[in-house]
Amino acid sequence: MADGPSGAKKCRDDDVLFRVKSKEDREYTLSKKAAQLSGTIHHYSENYGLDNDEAIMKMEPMSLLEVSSESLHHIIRWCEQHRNCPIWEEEKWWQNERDAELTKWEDEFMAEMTSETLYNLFLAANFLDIKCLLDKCAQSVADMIKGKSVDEIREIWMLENDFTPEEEEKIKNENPWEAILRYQEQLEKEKEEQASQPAASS
Amino acid sequence: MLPGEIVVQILPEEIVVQSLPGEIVVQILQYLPHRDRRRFCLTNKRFDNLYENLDSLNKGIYSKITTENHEIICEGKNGRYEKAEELSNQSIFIKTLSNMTPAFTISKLIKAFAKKNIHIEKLILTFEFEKYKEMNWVQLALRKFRAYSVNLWLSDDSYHNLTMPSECRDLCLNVELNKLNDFSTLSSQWLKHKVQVDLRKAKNFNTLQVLFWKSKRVMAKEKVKFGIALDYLKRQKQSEQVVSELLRKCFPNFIETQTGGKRRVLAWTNNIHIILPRTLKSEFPVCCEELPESFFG
Repeated sequence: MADGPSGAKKCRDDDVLFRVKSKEDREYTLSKKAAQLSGTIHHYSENYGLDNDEAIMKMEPMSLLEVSSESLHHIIRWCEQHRNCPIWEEEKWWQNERDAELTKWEDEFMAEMTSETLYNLFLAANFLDIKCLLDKCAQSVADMIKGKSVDEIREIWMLENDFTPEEEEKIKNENPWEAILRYQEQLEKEKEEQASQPAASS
Repeated sequence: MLPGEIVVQILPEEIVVQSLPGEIVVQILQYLPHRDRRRFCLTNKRFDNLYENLDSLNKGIYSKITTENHEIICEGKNGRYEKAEELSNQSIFIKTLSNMTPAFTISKLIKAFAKKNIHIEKLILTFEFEKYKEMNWVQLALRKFRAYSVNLWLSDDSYHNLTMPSECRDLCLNVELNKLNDFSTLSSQWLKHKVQVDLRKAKNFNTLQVLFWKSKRVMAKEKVKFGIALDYLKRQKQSEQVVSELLRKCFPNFIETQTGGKRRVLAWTNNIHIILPRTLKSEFPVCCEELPESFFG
């Protein structure tokens, strides 16, 4: 029986429950419809003959050794919320015009995530091949990166600068785009300075 | 906090974004404007390498699929697979034109074909391997293709740097000998797996000799049972004369280069499958009679 957090218990009773197990060996359930959002579960079902309700009801829980309980809880919430959406293999259906409420729910869902949770969720979504969630995670991470300088990105994401000073110089010289970036930054800086000058003088 | 607003937090030390799989990083990059994308990639060497391969993201992959000589050529970013249906009863070849072909993109394409009930018989991957060591995407692609029994065709010398993922049991390496200059660099790892050597277009059989010498060494070293063509044919109750005739016809250079003393033999293993020219069958009906049909293309 499922003993996971509320996400698993929210499964609706009009659909059979698919049993999954996190890497901490905690068992969860999610509705068959929700499970079909995952490419990994879809292939697992095909390989293990889980193509009918009876087989699913008798199944042993599917071990998701790369997914933590916390991530699995969020994954199940996401999948249950999207259980009526096209299944995993539909191409980019989430980019079409769709229910505003669902979009709002997604935004709120992502806003709940800390960076750490988001990072783990991203990896879990990749492992489970849940394309709509992967896409949303990618978008959220990209939003975090937008407008940041190289050093800021390194600081936020704990990225190690493994370029030698010579390599960095070479990149700057070889890459006209970098020169444009620097020029744009300089222009923006000058603009800011100019904008602050009259205020200071007045 | 407003809905949809993202709060940027400093990640705990144990999280290292650098370890994100390449395909995830590529997905993130798709959502970044060019300027931010470049900045993100300038943070470290790995991402910088990825950026170098992003040309195809900019140009797009697979937005155009044309058919040419029974091959499907895919270009552009947004997959359109309608034209592929025209060839649904034939072998389908997908030729990736771009050097950067992330595994997930190919995978999507394959799935799209599968959804339309188009069986993919052969997949041609053309790539410059050196560029993808970092991303290891070839390995990723191979893993993802497992379910589709895809054959990997290598049309250049890039094979020798490839390591075969251990989980790829069904994958078959097809080699067209006439396109290869030197077989001696063939990674011994490949020989542990199923290797299909297509001799139908082969012109230079000397390279074959190198392959078999190598395979013999590998197999012996690993105590893998291997047979020799001669023995095989003897078991098939062919006379020595017929066998010699067959070998001479099939591998003239091989036979001619034999000089007394130690006799070199043709290694034959369960893992190496050779495709012989079908014309051989009509030319030497008796000696080919016992050979399995699968030997002929």
